[in-house]
Amino acid sequence: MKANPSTMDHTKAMKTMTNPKVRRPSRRGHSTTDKVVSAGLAAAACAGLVGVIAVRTTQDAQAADAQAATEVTDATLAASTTSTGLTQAQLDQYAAQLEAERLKLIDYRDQLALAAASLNGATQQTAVPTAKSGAAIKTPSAKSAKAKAKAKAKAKAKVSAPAQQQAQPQAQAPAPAAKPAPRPQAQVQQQQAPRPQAQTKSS
Amino acid sequence: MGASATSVLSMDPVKASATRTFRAMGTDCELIVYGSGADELVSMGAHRVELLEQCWSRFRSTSELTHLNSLAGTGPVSVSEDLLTLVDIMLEAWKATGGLFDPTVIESMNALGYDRDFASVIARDAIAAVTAQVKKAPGMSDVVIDEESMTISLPAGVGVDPGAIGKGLAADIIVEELMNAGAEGVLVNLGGDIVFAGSPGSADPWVMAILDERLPLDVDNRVVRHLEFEAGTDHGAVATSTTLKRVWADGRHHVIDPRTGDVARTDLVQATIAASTGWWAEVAATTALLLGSEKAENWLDENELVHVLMTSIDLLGDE
Repeated sequence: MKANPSTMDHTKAMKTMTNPKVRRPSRRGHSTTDKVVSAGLAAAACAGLVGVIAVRTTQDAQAADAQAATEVTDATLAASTTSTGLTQAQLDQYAAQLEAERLKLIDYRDQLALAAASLNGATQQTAVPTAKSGAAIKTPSAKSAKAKAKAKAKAKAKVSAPAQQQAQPQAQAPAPAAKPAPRPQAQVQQQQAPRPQAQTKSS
Repeated sequence: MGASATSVLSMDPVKASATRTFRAMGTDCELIVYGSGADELVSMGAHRVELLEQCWSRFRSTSELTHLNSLAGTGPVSVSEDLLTLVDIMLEAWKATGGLFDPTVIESMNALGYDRDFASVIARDAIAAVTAQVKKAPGMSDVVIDEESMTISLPAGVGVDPGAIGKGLAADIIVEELMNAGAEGVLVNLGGDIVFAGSPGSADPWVMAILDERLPLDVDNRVVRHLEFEAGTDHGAVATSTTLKRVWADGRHHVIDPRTGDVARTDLVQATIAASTGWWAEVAATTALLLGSEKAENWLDENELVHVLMTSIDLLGDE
């Protein structure tokens, strides 16, 4: 804990007041002056003792406060750490972020619905769930089921070799001559090569 | 533009179209929309990519997926529709492939050093390779999805990685939403995971050029096959998985075998699959690589998936 400057000052004062030179009784005579001085010193010593006690009391109180504060902080931390190992603050932050993403998705779907409406009229609008209904957020099963069902459908694709002007693999191709004969291609195109919309690329 | 460049060469001038290219999900992305309102829809599609990435990214500390993974072992966690859909499809894919597609390889993936976006992995790799301690993937068997309450429970120590399914599924979602909004045709290409629907601005078919990833990038033409799909298709997809890309350290690559937790040891270096959805094409491509050429042929035939497989030395099969 960072030291309190005022506390340090009090500590210096305490050390000064507990210096034996100050507390030791004078060995010189007992003149009136001496008595006055002694009485003054005694009063000062008492005042100092009171000050020391006050300082210690203050320090104890501060230490107790600090300890109590530490205990409270620990308790707060313990209470806010959830069973997931995350603090409540972290979970709250995540929830806020998730909500922001949800709103973005709603906004996206709203815009899509508007685009659909302008493009295709009201009949198409129903094809895109509206955000206000919340249907798009809460009904995943339909999409999942559709995606699954589609996967079972056979793709109606045909494979063809690129035509002559679509150059064959160059000489740098890894040992193309060593390959076994390719399987018969049912639909090899001999005419001009089709023009592809896209090229594959590994992911 | 990079190797994922999409060339729109058969655009009908009568039909409006719009194209948007950008970087997202750690890769090159391209969206093409045909029909009136294409400009607006293509912008919305790009925005949707960002929304999905924010939800699903395992490289963003603030993503919902990262949060879900961090709460593994703590019981049901409330999730959004998009995240529920992702994990639901992951589970479906895991079951359909007998566990060969396994998104719970994330721990091994991280251990092997692929614990951040790939550009950062490469940058770090130049400094020091990561020591890998891999183990068999835990699998999805104890993952509990409750669609009614919109919650997901991950067992302790289990996380999910959308790497081998997320882009395909994202493309599926975007294509479907834009088609529902009134587009006449949509193509979404997220790093080579391509999904399309409707018509490409004319009665011409959708044509995808398959690149041979074995060929050096400076080869003039790396196209080895074309895949054609009829115009007006409800939903079509092509995805490629390869061990030749995203390679780092001592030959490590991003295709992890869940049976060992280590990088896949396979004679196949590239699998390109055509399917009716992007996620299924992507899953099938990964599964084919893991199976190896011989078993992959059988598995793909059983699942009626059009495919092009390539080994390190030859072109094995197509149909």
